[in-house]
Amino acid sequence: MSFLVNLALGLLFGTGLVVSGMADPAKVLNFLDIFGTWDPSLAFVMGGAVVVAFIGYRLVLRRDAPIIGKTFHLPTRKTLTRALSLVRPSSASAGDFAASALVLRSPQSALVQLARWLSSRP
Amino acid sequence: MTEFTPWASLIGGTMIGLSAVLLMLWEGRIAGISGIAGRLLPPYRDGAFLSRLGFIGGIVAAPLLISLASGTPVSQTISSNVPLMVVAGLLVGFGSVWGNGCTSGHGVCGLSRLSARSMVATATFMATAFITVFVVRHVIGG
Repeated sequence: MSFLVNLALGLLFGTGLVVSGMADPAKVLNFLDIFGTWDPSLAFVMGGAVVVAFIGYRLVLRRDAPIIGKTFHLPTRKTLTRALSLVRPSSASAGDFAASALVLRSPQSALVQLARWLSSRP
Repeated sequence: MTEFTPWASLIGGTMIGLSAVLLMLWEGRIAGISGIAGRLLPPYRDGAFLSRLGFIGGIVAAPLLISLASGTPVSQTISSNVPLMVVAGLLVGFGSVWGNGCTSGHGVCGLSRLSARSMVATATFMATAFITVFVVRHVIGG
């Protein structure tokens, strides 16, 4: 039963990928090529999906439990982790952020430092 | 060149979002494709293997069924260099597991849940991808 429901949901997801054009890697690559053959379509896919999921999740998560199973399996980790960020986990200050942004060890590291600095402010 | 398709992409996007919402309603799981696909491999801890197989099977079957029904194949532009595609596939798999998610898990589900981790992850992999494509197409390839 769960197999069939998941099959149907996978078909819906896959049909969404085909209809949106995202089944073609060329369209994804062209989204990333702002200074070349830019195709902004992917932003519309993400936008549509996020708006629907943003509203839908809020409605669904009012329930105590999903239709099958006892609990919702939501990711519980809230902190930025080494695996996600690739930088040494340490407490960051505005100075650290400025330094990493200036040196730009990597765009990731600057972003993560910015996020840490923002979340560490009172 | 690919054609800019705002309406088709918006409609397809809402189907993807709806699928993610219904998966949460049915069995309370995040529709992260890399996570679902990755957990088709052992270790099997939670007895959800058949569910995952169904979801991935549906995604794989969708373009095949659409091709059959419409009589025209779904357009896909990929490299004919097989070793390059294998390396690219391995990198996609490695990166999405290391980053704990991909465009669907972090990008769609995580952003919808306003997860700070997913916002950082999405901003990071998008920024890295923009830079990579710029370097490959305009610096090296230019």
